[in-house]
Amino acid sequence: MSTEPLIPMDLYCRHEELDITFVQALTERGLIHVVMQEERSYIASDQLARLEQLARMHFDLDINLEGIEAISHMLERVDRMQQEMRALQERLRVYERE
Amino acid sequence: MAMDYYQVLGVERNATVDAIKAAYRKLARKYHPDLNPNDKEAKRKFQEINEANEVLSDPESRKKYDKYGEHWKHADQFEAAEKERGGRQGRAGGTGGQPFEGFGGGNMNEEDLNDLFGSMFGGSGGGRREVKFRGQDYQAESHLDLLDARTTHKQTLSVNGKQLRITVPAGVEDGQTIRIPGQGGPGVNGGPAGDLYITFVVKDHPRFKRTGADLHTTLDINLSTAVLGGEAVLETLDGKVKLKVAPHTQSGTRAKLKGKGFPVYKHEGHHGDLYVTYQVKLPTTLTDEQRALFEQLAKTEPQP
Repeated sequence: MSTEPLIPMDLYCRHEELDITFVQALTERGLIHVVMQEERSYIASDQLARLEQLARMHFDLDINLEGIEAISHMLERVDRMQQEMRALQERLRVYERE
Repeated sequence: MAMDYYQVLGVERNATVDAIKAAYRKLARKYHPDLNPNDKEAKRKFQEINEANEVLSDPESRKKYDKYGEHWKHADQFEAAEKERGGRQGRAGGTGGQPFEGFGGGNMNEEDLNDLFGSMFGGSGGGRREVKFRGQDYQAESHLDLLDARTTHKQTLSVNGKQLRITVPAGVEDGQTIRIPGQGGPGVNGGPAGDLYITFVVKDHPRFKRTGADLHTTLDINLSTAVLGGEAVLETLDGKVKLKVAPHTQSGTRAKLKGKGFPVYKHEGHHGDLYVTYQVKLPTTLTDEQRALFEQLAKTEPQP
């Protein structure tokens, strides 16, 4: 369970001039997690960077929601592979030193 | 070398605003840092694309860029100088004409600019006024070992053929950039010099991994020390320290040595922590006596 401060989604969208239906669509696709409390949607502050990233993809790069979904999965894979590569490089360095 | 914004975006010089926008979006989708995590080359390329787009998508900036090329940012100063010159000529009863004649409709190069300055300010007579320009910013890299980055020290760098002695503060991080004002390219017509940006590249250490001001290392301990507890010696960056290993220490257990990490950048006297991960080394060969003892031990151990 997230212990990050929660920000009301409607307030955030108004402040950032972000279309609330876009955030709802991301939520429906499981790309952003929102917390429901007393029928109001909240975004955990640790989700904001991700939300901004997805908004940039959509509004700055003209990528539709299906594209964002596919890219998100691929980025997760890239991230895992980069971590794995770093770990392998570190292990390789140990062997090279020996 | 200055970049050609049209070339960066891959469009013709007479491209429409829509064509520029489309070209930008196409390239941005390829090089945007959000889509290229941890890729420095893509980041650099994206910055170029962004810069080109910012200039070319704004009709005013684009007009200036088309006229003055890489010096477009100084267009207002050029134009102020032009007016000044035109005014003086008018009062002196000169023939007037276009001060920038011959330069319009294309990018100006360094030579054109020098000619321009010559024609604008090279003449004799009173009322001479110079337009000053700030010099170019320089970028340099400084390579350090982790041990070098621990202490504040002096380093001599060679930047554009000039030897420069700088003080490297303790605790600089890999990839960190510092700015040294006034050490870039010389200004034009007595304008201020540009700045020098130095990026530090800190090499990995074979035994210590650094995260900010914290250091991480591993320490091998033998099986009996792990089980019964005891002492182990760890070589830190400051020398050897004796560690107390608690009984029943598992492989992978982490101990924190407060204040034994890396100096905190620009916080003299403050240090991060050193994290030690114990690795229990199992024996690879046994003497007869050891084997007998293990067999005896095995009989007392419950099956997992």
